[in-house]
Amino acid sequence: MLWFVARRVAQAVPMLLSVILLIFVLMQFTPGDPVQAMVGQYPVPQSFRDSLTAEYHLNAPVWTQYWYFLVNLAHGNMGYSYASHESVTSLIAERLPNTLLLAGSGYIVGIVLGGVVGLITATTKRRGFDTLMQTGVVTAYAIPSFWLGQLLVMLFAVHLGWFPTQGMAPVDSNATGIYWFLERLSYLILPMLTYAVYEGARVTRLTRVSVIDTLNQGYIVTARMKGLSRWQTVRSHVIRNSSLPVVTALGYSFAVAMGGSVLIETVFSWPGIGLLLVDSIKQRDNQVVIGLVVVIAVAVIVMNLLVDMAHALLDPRIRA
Amino acid sequence: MRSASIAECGHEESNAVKETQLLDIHDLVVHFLREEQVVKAVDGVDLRVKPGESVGLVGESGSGKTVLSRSIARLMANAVIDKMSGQVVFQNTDLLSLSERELERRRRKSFLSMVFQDPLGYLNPTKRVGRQVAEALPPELSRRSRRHRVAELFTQVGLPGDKASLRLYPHEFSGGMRQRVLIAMALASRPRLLIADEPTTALDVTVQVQVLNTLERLHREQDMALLVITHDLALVAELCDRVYVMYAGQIVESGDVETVLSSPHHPYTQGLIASMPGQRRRMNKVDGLVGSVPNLALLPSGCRFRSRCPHAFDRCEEMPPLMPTSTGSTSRCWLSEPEAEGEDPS
Amino acid sequence: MSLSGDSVDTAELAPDLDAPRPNTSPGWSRGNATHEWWARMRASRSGMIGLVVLILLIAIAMLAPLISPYAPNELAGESLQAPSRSHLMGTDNVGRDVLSVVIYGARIALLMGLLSAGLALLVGGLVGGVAGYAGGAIETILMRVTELFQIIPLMVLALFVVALWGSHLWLLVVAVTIAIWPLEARIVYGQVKALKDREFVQVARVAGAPHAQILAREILPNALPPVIVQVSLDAGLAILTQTSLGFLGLGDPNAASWGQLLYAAQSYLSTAWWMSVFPGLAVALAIIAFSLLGDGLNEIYNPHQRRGTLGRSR
Repeated sequence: MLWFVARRVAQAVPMLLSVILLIFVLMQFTPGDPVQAMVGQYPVPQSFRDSLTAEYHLNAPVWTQYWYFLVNLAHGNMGYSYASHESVTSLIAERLPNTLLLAGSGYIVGIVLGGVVGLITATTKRRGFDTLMQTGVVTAYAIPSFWLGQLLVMLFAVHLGWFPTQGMAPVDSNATGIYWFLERLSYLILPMLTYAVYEGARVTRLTRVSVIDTLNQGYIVTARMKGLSRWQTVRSHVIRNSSLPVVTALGYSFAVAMGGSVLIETVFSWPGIGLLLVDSIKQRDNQVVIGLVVVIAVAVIVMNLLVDMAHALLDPRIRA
Repeated sequence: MRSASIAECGHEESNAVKETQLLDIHDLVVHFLREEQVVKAVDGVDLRVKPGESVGLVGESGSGKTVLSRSIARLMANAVIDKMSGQVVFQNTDLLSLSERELERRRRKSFLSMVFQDPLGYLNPTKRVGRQVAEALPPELSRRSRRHRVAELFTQVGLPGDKASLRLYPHEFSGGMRQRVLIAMALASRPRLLIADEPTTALDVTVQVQVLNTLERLHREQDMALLVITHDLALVAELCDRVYVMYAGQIVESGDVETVLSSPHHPYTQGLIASMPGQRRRMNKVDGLVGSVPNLALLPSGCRFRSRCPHAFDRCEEMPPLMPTSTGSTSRCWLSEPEAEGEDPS
Repeated sequence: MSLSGDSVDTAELAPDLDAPRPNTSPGWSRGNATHEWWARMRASRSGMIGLVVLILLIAIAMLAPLISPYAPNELAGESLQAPSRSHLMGTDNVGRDVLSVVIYGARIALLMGLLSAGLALLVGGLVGGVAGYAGGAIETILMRVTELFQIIPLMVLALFVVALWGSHLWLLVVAVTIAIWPLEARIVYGQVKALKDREFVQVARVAGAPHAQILAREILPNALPPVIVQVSLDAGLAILTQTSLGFLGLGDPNAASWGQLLYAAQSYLSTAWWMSVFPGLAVALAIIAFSLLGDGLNEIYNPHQRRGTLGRSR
């Protein structure tokens, strides 16, 4: 297992370097000079442009530029946002926990919900329930996440008044202890639900296919022959085995969630990195945009690494 | 009309000896749906196994023998079944009439067990073998006696019963060892009948012999009846007392192994024997089998072997019943009629 | 679904039901096939629903000037009016007729969606096809690059391109194309790679047919079915991505699109529900249409795995 982890980590490093190279290459295709690509249209003084040119060696050949791009990243230096007068690193560090809270909770709720519903739809003998859930999944898939967010806001926040419409916390709050928590929770629920519906639909679909596939395996016949009941068979042989492809797909699904955070955070004005990305694009503050794309790509690679390890934990065959 | 004649043929006998039979299959019909076609996998089969007896069921792949074995253990999916009728009487209970719950209860204690063809597919790849075998034990056992019993089962089938081996995963075993794990699992409930579906097909020749020996030893020591399902007559000759030959969903010949092998009546059996390696020269009168089993969804009328039979004649357009032959076996062929053979049965 | 493992069994049991693979190219022959295609399409519930909705959308897009009560950017009345007889879907914050914007929006959505999906097929098909056919180092390099593009989330990649290059209408199409082409590349790659080793391709190769001819005559016709399915699904994805960019305020501000309307609606959620509900419905409808069509096509081309999104169709 240790050997497996070491090998996977070693494989992730070139992946990381190539993704950063891809980002770098895309920047090279930007119209205008390289400084322009880095700072965008945001008005900055000439002195800042000069310092960037020096720092990233923007007058040197492309490969040298890539090298210094990497060196700066390795030092945790992702540039300076002139729009917010803060270093990009600290700007992102400030927003990242908010995104992780929202996307993470929505992700987990969605996976749990989707897993349970998928398992039930695959094993149930009631076709009506299966069809209903399947239709629900198609619908959930077709509804754009941001529109679902808008609908939820209109229904639960505006019309019913159960939850706040946007933000992460009230501007002036002196609630403490459990009240503080409940207050925060009331802000979290709607955006989290938006995530969860989408993620849940995806996981439901994956789980259903995977469970049906597992049920057709020989060892299920063996289990029945041993005299295990339906439920015992499901618990002991189906859940773990059918979770393998679902777990594998969760890495990709995390990338989708990161993409979705841009939209959902915008609907709910949730101060995470998604909202930061959109705001920075609108302000033409490219340093922040580049930093964010790098961070998101790294997050996806790390997530894929974790998924691989989870897969290895669940499946002894690949732990070599 | 056809089914009536089959019933006539076997029924008096089965009434007379009912108590002594361990397994008594009577007129079993299993048709299932596949791509909107009715597949007549088992079509009016009678089969009996006495306690402690070893019986072979022989046929080419596609003859319906696997479905038959699955139906005995009630391990076929209900979803695709088009028609299922007849009786599968095991220890005086008709298994086909049992509820799912009752079946589960019976599977756990002194019921019948199965060993499958492909040991890798029939073992859960993500579970340690020890735990998989332990699952088959009665739930009321304590943890300790459970572990003890699993180790005991492992040694019985010729596997190392030490702790480390029990903690291995199926992929860490060889094919023969996996088959032994399956056998150990099947033995856990101390079954009175073990159905072995192609138990050695997936294995190397040397390993085949070892697994066979193990099966035979268990059969003798534990007084456990065996129903061996195979395409391999040599295996039947080695392991079984009686044999049923199955073709296209029907039994076409049955009798003592020695009788059937030395004087086969049905042309299909003759073909099977002729196809055995090493038999070609001795029985050079009969050709080996040509062609393959007809599509079970599109069966011809009359004798189902007609299209491949070297002796087919007009009468074969009518389905022959299973009839007793001069040597004491039964055969589903008009040529096996005592008159047709020109011999006096008495 | 029962817990008894039936499929293993039936497959072992009746091998004759599976016709032997012919030695010749099994590509869809013309003429008779069209008839059969249509017969199978009609048997597919999801496929028919998708097709009908899509035809409806295309008709609306094409006939927009005839059926739309107002011009898309015309100030048709007072702003923020609730749906009424004169404005069936109400008016937006600047006084445009929502219904008219929704109708004209179908043009932009379909046009840009299909354009991006088509371009993505072109790029992806080329990369995937070459990688699958050539093999060796070319295969490795091309597919690694494809994977790289997929590490960055689709939406983030599209946004990055917009940030770097700007958000003119055609740049948005390019952004979406860049984001979704890897999907196409992978499916084409898989198909070509699998087909390359099939007998009828080998036969053509031994006979000395040039690569281009083998690709065009033997491989492409057979690789097409799953690719068509994927394109149908991705056209929906392209529309979604396009609308998402619009919703974020990064679309073309002058084009009357669904995304742009939803972007405006964001500021009026508490007062003007109609600004969000109707364009949102339109987006959902378009995506459903493409995804159901994809399911239907899948049922046609892969009749063995008949499990569409609308339940177990039969």
